[in-house]
Amino acid sequence: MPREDADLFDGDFLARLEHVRLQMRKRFAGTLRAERRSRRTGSSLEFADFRNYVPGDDPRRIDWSIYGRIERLMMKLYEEEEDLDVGILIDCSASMRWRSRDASHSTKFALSRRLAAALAYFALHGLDHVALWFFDSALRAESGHYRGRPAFHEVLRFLRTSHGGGGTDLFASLGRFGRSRRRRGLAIVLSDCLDSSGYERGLSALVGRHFAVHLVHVMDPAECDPAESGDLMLRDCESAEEMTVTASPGLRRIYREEVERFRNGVKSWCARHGAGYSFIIADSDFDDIILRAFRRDGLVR
Amino acid sequence: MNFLFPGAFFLSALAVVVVALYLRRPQRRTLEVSTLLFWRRVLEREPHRRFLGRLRNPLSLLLQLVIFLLLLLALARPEETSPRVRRATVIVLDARARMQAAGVFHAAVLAAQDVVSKLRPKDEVAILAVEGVPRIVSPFSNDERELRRSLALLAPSDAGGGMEETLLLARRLLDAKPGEHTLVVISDRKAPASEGVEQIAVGSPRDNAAILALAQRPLPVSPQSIEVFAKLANFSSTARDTELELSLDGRPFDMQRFPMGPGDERNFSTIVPKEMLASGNGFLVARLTTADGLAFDNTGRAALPTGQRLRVLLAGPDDPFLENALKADPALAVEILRPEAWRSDMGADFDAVVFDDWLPEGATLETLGRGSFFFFGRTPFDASTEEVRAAPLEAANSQSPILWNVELGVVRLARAGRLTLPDDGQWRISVPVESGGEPVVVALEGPRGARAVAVAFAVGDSNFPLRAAFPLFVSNVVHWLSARTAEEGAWKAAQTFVPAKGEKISRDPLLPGEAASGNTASSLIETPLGLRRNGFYEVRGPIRSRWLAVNTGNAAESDLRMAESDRNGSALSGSGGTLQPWRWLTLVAAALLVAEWFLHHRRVTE
Repeated sequence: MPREDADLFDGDFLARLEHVRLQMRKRFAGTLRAERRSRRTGSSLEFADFRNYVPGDDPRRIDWSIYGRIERLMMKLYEEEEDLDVGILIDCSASMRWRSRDASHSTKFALSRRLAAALAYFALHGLDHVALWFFDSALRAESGHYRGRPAFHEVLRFLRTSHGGGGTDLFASLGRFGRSRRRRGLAIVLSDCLDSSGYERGLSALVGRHFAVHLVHVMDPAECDPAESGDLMLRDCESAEEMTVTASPGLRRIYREEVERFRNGVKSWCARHGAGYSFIIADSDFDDIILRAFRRDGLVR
Repeated sequence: MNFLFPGAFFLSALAVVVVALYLRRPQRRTLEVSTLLFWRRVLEREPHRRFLGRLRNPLSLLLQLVIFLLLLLALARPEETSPRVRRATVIVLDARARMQAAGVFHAAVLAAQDVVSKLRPKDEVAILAVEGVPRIVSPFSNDERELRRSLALLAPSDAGGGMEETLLLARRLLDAKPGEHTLVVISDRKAPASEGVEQIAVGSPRDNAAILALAQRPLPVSPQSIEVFAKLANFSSTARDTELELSLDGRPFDMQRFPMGPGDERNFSTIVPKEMLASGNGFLVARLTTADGLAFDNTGRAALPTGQRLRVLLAGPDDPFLENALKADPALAVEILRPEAWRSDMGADFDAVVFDDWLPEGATLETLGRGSFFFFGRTPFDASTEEVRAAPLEAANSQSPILWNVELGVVRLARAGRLTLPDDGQWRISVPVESGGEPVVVALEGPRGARAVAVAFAVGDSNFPLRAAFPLFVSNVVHWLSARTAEEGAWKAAQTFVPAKGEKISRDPLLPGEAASGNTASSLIETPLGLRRNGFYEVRGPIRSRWLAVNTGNAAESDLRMAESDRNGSALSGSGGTLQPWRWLTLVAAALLVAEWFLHHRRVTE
């Protein structure tokens, strides 16, 4: 974890995050009481519905005002607020650790770790279960389950550990994650999606197992618009494969179009499959990502 | 437009090499990227980009091809062929001795370079130097670099003289050229205005003192001692004390101080006794020790005869009178030759040849070859068998050097031939002795220092051998005949020395240090040599060597009071100094090269 994270999560910043919560597109049944609505009705103050009284019901929840109007005993139902399983999956492949030579901003991986810390904080604050994973071509490390704000330090400690650095295989990693989870919940994937075999199968493995998926798509500015031109020998940082290219202005323009097409493809795939999607450039302002971009994309509220 | 070197266009095939080198870029920069995914998709989408990409920005290739084309055109040397008036210019550059004044010749060369720099492509320039005699420094050329190199190698000589011959030569050179003619004279002073001559004066008035002449002759009373004459002049606007130092073979032996007013001339003489000439080379150097405007005329040189005895050849039947008279002079080394052993080229090896009542068959002064001759009895001037009337000898010219200390008294002749003297004007004839009004002793001085003395009677046909004056007369004649050697040794700069058969002359004069030590000259040549530099030149004959003393000795070269400067003279003014087309092409190519370099390093054309 970079030293700058220690400054990032200072009192002021955390105070601003107090009112931020993870937002769910789906509702899942929890096991413990929490602040998140579940499919169950319960004893919270949030009104849910009415139903006919049946013997055995708690007479304290009979709505006497309805009885006065229609002379029928109706039970007033309240939503049960339960906890949520939040899984945060961080891509730690070599491509996530890459950045252009002259760049001053942090790597995609470093940004992803900070974003994961923030998202974990939101979840812990909402009394949800939080677990974090590093993955590249496979799942590399699991943090275990955390609950409650005091566990945030454990989260940070886990994020400081270093794992992976190999190639990317979303299907192998996310598929194994999906199979290993008994409770469905929110799966937040922070990745650049640069999987030579395609990102679709990996994300499908989560969506198919009924996870609420939100993809945080992180890219480096130099990936979107390469500054280098001329005669280049390009070497893939994951596969070490080489390729000769003469980067003329025209070719660079087509490259930018291709990246844009890729990005739109990921976005539309997520939309089609009910997954959330956030696109983040690695040199973006962190506050802006948390307080604006994630809100805009429905990840937090 | 015409091309002087159209063969350069064959090199256009090298354009293929330029394109090939452009396409084959040897070194690609290695760059690590996060993925090749996008690049691969780009090239799959647009496979033609794989080749077009090699062209990168075609501006780079275009610039390189244009640069190549410009260099090719420059190499082909394009020349404008439009009918335009050609101009021929002759630069007459004064390289006489007075141009050695500090900075003057350098200014003259700069002025000449200025003229050369204004050459137009069709102009031609020739450079002549005035060094007493005309010298062609560079023939007509429009190659500015070659002309500048010729000017850079030019140095002022030690010679004086006039400019007329050079101007005449310049005009003749110009007459041979079509188009406009320009004659530019660069000197330290302006010559009288002349039509068609542009003058550039580059001098400035200076004070100067000079040794105008240094001469020597055998002392009449003691021919082995030398009397030295020097002439000094003060070409200054103020009076000055002039100090003259005389040295022999590097050893000073006399020093005189002369207070001289502005424009004064002083003569000075001294005697070098024979004891000082017993050894050494006889290099007499007179030097003014006070500094002034010119250095070359502060030194005068003379080659004095040293202790060597005069070589005299006596040819003829036995004659004890004449033989003893010659041997009575210790300064003479006499060799006796029988008539049948005579060869026509022997005269050059002796200081004097004495024919005693004998002559080679049909001999004349011309057929006898080079040398000095003393004829007794039979002479080349005998007029058949006619004899003069016998009468006592009379001194017709008592001042003649061959009669010094000779008291003829009463010398009677038994018979004497009548002399028919040459009247072709080549010989200067004097008659020291007559008999009855007829010349019986004649002294002749001819071209190139040739001398002869003819006595119309034989030794045995008078009582002259019995007189005490006879050996004195013989000695005087031999010394007068050989005195030409001393005169021949004095030369002026710019004269041309023509070696006789078997002679060689040193190419360069001895340096001052070498002159003192008496070192011999290094390289000797047999061809005629223009004596451009003052100094001692060795002339090596088949038997012995002699020395020439070369001096400027010209008052016009030492007088700098008339020098003037006029740098406003702008010959060829208005010609613009246009660059030739090939230079323009090279300049444009260089500019494009810089532009291509600039764009490449800013990755505009990468």
